[in-house]
Formats: sequence, C-alpha cells, structure tokens
Amino acid sequence: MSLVEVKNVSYKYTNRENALTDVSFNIEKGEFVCVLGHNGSGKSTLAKIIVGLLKAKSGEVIIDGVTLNEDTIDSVRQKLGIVFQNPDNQFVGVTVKDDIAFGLENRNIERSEMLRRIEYYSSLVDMEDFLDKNPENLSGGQKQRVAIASVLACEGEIIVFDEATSMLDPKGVKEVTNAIKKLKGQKTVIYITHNLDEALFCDRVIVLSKGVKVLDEKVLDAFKEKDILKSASLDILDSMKLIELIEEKGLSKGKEIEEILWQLTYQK
Amino acid sequence: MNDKIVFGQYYQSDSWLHKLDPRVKIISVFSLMISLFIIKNIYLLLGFMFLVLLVIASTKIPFVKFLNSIKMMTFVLLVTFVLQVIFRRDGELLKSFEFNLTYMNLVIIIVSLFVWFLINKYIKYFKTFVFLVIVLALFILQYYVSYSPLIVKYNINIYSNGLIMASYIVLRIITLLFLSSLLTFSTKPIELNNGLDYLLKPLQKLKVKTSIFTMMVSIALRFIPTLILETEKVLKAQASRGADFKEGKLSARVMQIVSLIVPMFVIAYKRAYDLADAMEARGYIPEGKRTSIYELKYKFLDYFSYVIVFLILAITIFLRVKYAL
Repeated sequence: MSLVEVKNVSYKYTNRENALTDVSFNIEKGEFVCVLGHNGSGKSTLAKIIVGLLKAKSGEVIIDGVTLNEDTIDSVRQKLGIVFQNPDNQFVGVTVKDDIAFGLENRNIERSEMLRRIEYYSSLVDMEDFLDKNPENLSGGQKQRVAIASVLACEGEIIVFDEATSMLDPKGVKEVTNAIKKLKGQKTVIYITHNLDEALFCDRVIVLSKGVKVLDEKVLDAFKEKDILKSASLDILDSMKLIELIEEKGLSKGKEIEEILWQLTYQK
Repeated sequence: MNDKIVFGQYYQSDSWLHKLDPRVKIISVFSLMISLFIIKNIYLLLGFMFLVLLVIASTKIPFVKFLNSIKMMTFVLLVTFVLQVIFRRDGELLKSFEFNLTYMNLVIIIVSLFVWFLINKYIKYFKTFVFLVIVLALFILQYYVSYSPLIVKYNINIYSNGLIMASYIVLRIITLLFLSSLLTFSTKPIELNNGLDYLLKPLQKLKVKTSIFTMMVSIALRFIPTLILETEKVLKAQASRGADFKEGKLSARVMQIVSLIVPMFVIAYKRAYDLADAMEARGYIPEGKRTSIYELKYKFLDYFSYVIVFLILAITIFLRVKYAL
C-alpha cells in the first residue's frame, strides 16, 4: 500500500473547463515527487485536493489507507502539511514563534512540548535567531522557511510545497530549497513547481498539462521526454536546449558549438 | 528591512509595569478609571494624578510620549476649559471683562478668520496654537478698541467655581489619557489580546465565542502592518500612473481614492482567502479546543498590584459615600 494514492481524481471550478481530469498516481513513503506543470495545468488544484482543502468532484484521495472525506479530514490532516506560494498570506502568527505554534495549538499540544518543537524546528531551518521577529521584518525566503518550520513542527509525514519558491528572489529560493533538501529521507514530499531546474532534486516527476497527467517518470528519464515537456509548455533545461541544437544541426566541431553557445546567451 | 511600521504605541523597556501580567494591567486600568470618575473633590483628584505621575516616572517611558498623547486632545481640552469658565456662574465673581463688538471690530474678525482659512494649510507646526493666538488677539482687540459705532456690548464673568470645575474636568481627562497610555505603552497589542483571551474565558460558559473574537483580533494585528505596506505600494503605483491624491477638485480626488480602494479590496480579499486555506490546512477548527503558547501566571507583583488597585477603588468609594468627596 502506498502512502498517498490519488485515484481518478477530477475537478472542475464552476463556469470553467475541467481543472483536473482523471488524474491517478501513487506516492511511496519517503519519496520526493515533483509535480510539474505550466500555469493553469491544475497543479495547485491537485495540491489543494491532496491536503483536503478542495473536494474532488470524482475519484478519491487515500492517505495512509484512509480515504479523504468530511469525516476523516480532521484526523488525516495530522499527517499532512502544505507550504503555499505567498509567504505573507500563510503567516498566521504575529511573531515567528506564534506562527510555528499556531498549528501546534490547534493540535492541543502541551506548552512544554510546543516550546521544544519550536526550538528544534526553527533551528532546522536556521530561523532560531528570529523567533521574536514580526513577519514585516523578515525577507520572503525567511518567511517561507518559517512556513516550513510550522509544517514540520506538526510532525506530519507528507509535506506539499505548492510553488513555495515562485515569489522569492534568487537568494530566498536557495535558502528555501536548501531547507527542503534537508528533508530527504525523512519526509514524503510533493513538490509542485513550473520550473524544471527545481525538479532536479526530486526522485520522480509527474507532468500535468491542462489537467491531464502526461508523464510520470524517474527524474532523469523524464528530462529526456522533451516533446512531452514542450507540449506541456514547460521550458526545458538550458543544457538540454544545447544538446538539442547540437543534434539538430549535426555539429561536430568545437568552433561551431561555441557559436551556438553565444547565440543562446544573446537570446537570453 | 522595513522597521518603520510599528503598530500600536508600545514602548520597549524592562520596567516592572512591562513585566506585569496583561490581565492585571487591563483590570487595573479599568478599576482605576472607575475610581477616577468616582472622585468628586479636586484635591483628591490632584492626589490621584500625583500617584499616576509617580507610576509614569517609575516606568522609564519618556514623559514626552505621554504629553504627545494629550497633544491630540489639546483643542478639545481648551474648548472644554473655556466653555466651563465662561458658562459656570456660581461661587464668587473673580473678574468681569467687558467686550465691545463694534462694526470695525466685526470687519477685522471676519477678515482675519477668512485669512486664517486661506493660509491654514500652509502652516505646518503649532497650527492649533496659532489659531488660539489669533482668537485671543481678537478678544483683546474687542476689549481695548471701541472705535467706530457699537453693535453690542457683552460681559464675560469669571467665577471661582467655574475655574475649579473647569480645571477639575480637564485634569480628569488628562489623568484618563495618562492611564490608558500607561496600558498601551507598556503592553504589546498581542499581549493585550492574550490578556483579553484569558479574561473573557468565563464568557464561553455562556456560549459566547470569545476565542473566535480574540483570534480575529490577533489576525487583524498581524495583517494591519502588511496591509499598510501594501497600501503604500499601491499608492506609489497609482501615483506613478498620474494619480494625485492631494490636490484637485473634490470629485477628482474621490475618483483617485477609488483607484486606491479597489485594488486594496481585491488584495485584502485574496489574502483572506489564502489565509483561510493556510489556517485550515494547519488544523484550525473554529470554536475547537486549542492550547496556547502563551501561559499567563500571576506572580507576587501581580497580586500586589491587584491589592493596591482595589484598595484605591475601595477608598474612593468610601470617601464618596461617607464624605461625598
């Protein structure tokens, strides 16, 4: 039995096309899965369905053997955590400490245990010196790391990152991805992004296009499926573009490769 | 990073007042306010004020901050004072002023008030003060100058009780402001909210949803600085597109403000939506049972403050009932 089973899930927002159509996949315990998709591919909808914020119109989500529905959601949520895109809008507490404590307070955890977890998980994301700071005094990357600590503190097994780095500056992206990489082997991660570069540290890639699952492969195999990636309007890696060009033109000489490299640089 | 926006009036310090339990501070301020309104005698009021000033002095909060909190009320205080002095007519007559309103004086009054309305937007500092000087000058003018035909002659009589009553009311308002400032200067908004959370808990037995109320307050406290930053951004963005919020006709300005309000509404709505998702995902159940990271425990100083404050309340009630002071 897999930890997360998504079975034939479809979803439709009122007055719009299907956001998700018949999506199925399983995720094993400890796996790092990247869900790739362009804008409007349904990847955020999928994230919300997995954590039970939206209810699938058809199909079901099974977490650790329990099917998600209104009755089970409160207990299943103990195993789930999600980090959203916007660093500001998910910061509930007035200070970093409050924010990490928020999920723990909801779970009726003892104060002494709360303090222990706040100390442990804030140092895990290198935010232990900022516990009394207000969100408006933190950078985007720091806020996202607090969000990660908040989710980790609840000690769920599955963590969903819904474009967690897309609103950050390059420095923030680096800080946050470093914090996420630390979770390898400890947590099951569903990492949702539109950026192929970020898929590199995941084990497996699921590609969504217009609400349909078009690819589900190990990460390196997935990158070879250039046509599928392109048809899903994803920007393939620069190195892959280079290989593609070399193949296309049948180049063999160093001089000409150099010229192509220049062209690529100028295009940017 | 942006450190400019500090919500509330909290003043960082490590005085005994800052360390006091927020519940004690809330209850104390309320009961002291009751005492303040029970006191009828001006000397007793002065004594009470002296006590408040002692507390202020012991907190290491600069006194200027307290004066600033009165500053906004100067005009109201002055008007109250003047009205009391003029219209209270008991006790002994101290002095009587006779004013002559003549045609020339009337013209001067109208012209100078008109000039005031023209130039008042260019005055940056001491606006109220300048206005008061002008008003005072106009009265002095009526007192000394009686040139040109007379319209009406009137008296302003100052009585002893009028003066006492006026200073009594003004002192009471000032003490009230000091008291409430003591609370807000020494307590962070979130601490106040936690204190309220504890204090309101008994109401939950009456099925009043106090936890939802305090959660709402804490979220409001969390998002006010963020929304202020956001408003600044939208202001700048609209200004860069030619919006002018300061000048132009009223109708034009209203239209400009719409260009600020609409995006702010959209932003606030989107945030609220996201926040609701984030809270739900982290297991928040409205009205559900929750533990709290804040633990409020009474210490010796807290009990001591309660005793003092209730003693003051008891004394004032006693004096009022027994001696009508």
